[in-house]
Amino acid sequence: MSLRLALCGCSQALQWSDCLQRLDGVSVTTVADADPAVAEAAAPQFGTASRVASCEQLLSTAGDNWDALVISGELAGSAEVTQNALAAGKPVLLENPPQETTTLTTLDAVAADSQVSLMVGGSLRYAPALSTVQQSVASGQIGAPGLLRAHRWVPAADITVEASLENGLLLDEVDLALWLFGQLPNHVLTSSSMAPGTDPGCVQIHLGFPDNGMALLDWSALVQGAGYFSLSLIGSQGAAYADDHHNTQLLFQGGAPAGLNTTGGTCGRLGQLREFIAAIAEARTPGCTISDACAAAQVHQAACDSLNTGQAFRWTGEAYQSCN
Amino acid sequence: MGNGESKKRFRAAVLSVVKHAYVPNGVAAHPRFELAVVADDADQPDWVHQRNEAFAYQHNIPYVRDVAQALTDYDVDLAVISSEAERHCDLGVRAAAAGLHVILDKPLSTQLSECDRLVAEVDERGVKSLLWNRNYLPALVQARELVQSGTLGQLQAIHVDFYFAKDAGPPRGSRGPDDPPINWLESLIAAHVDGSDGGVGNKPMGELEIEGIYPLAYIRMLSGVEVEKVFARTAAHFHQRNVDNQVDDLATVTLQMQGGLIGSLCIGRIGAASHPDIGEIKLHLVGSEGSLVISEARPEVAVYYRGQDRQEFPHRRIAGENDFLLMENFAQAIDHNGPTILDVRGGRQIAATVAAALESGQSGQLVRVS
Repeated sequence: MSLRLALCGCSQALQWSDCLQRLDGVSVTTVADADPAVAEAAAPQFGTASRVASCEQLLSTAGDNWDALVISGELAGSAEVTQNALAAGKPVLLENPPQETTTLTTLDAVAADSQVSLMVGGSLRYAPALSTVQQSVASGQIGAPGLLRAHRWVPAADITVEASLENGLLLDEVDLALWLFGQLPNHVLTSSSMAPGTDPGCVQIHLGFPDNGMALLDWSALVQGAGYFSLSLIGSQGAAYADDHHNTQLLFQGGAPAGLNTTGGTCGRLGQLREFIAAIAEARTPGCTISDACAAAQVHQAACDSLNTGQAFRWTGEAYQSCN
Repeated sequence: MGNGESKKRFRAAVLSVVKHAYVPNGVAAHPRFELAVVADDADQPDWVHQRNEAFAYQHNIPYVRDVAQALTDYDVDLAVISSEAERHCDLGVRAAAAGLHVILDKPLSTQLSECDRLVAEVDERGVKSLLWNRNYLPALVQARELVQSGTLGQLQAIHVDFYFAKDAGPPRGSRGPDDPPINWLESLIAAHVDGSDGGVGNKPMGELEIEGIYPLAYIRMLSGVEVEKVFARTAAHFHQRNVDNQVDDLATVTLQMQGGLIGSLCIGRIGAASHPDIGEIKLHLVGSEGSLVISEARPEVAVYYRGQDRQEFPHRRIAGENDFLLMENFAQAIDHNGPTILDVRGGRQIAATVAAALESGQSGQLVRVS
């Protein structure tokens, strides 16, 4: 299959280029970025790729030059760019969807009308370790999921000023929980070591699912050092453990040894891209849809409301409401 | 006796030993303690007397079917209580009222009112108390040293995973339509053979109630603060016995603690297939100056060999001195009128946290710890 991609958002062009080396017949032919200089620098990494002045001009000035659109990373105005591409019959991979459920619903409707594929990037779903965990569930190896535990610790240096629960701090983890349990939680409680509206510090979301499943998802800022991720999923017939602690190597340079993680390289992004391409080729719904993003956003909003009110929230069948 | 030979040797009465005997055995292993007598009430059922007698025979000490007599006639200093959980506090109250120090197996009780009665008696008599725990495992000692040294700065969050990868009778869904529900007491009496009878008693208890004391004692020791509110989800996910008796074998608990500290607990008896060893037991601590991930099992040595029994854990824990250090702590507390690592007041607070979590599991709401 031959597929020409437009890449909108070029700050991680090197990673995309690396992925494309592993795919036959797929190329980036057009690039655009909100910062023209970034697009200019990225274009040579894709050989003869042309660049356009802005993401909004991808269709108007180079629409014949590409078949599908990849919107990489955070991008202001991504919803409009996505909507225009869908309306023109171009499949879209939207890595970071907006959180507003009304916007997501609109995009879903446009994709349905146009009968083209709209895939949402779930950055955790395609991480090698976590796709392996999910396969252990999907294959029935570990039985019915019962308890999901995830810790994510982020170095302070990597935390942007916008990082907060309101801005989707644990959205990826919530999406992961919904994916693994295959349903919406009926209970949501959020706790934080800090007051709402201040620095994130430590935040944890506690979910309860209708079939007695449960999840605890926490996020913490690390004063220094590298990040850390740990996940365990306890099923009725077994368990899966994806744990940086287990995968830590030791570096001796005097004093106590430093722990080094052996990472999966670009495998996560590659898996995401492979799924997007396969969904187009097979004319099927991609593995992660706008409906999934909508569900995660809804639960995450309940988590925000829980933190702000200090109350547990319950699913009524239509919305999340305070238990009190 | 080594350097302790000049110090007083304490004599213990074992008041009922109906489940795994690691508590009285742990007491007896310390050179400053000796078991003098086993005792229980005469009106206890035959299986209780049989286990008491067997333990007394094993230790070559008498078995007396009269608790009051044992407490007065054998010149004992302390009572070691390893009965069914619902009798722990009553036996403890009677021992404390006789002026004896008390050591109790977990959980402290199945009723908070019983815990309160024991706390009041221990306070009034001024005796020492110890609720058996795992706070002196090497990894926990290390974690405590790192917290107390200030290496982590001010603690902000503490999370504990506490999974026992053990089976507990037939799996969930295995009961036929005409089969009767599994009787809790009969099932736990039968479980004595492999030592998985920690919940033996008339009142069914879930994993949170039976084993929750261990991780909650870690959190209590490391944080030094009380739990104020909890939110919990509980389920009988694995074992038919738990389904039939409407008690959990899997639970998650959010802990909101004094000073804005947050915590959480994941606990379960998750089945032998879920882990190659006793289970994943980990602590995650986040501080203002550093963070820490601790595996409770370490240090350990891995041993694999052809024909290895599947029941055998290939990773063997080493350098474990929990029993000795618990009893050393208890002896020091008596010698110097100091605190123990976990007394009945702390045990009562843990029981209250568990009770609030069970209530939250039912109501789906945040519950304040009484």
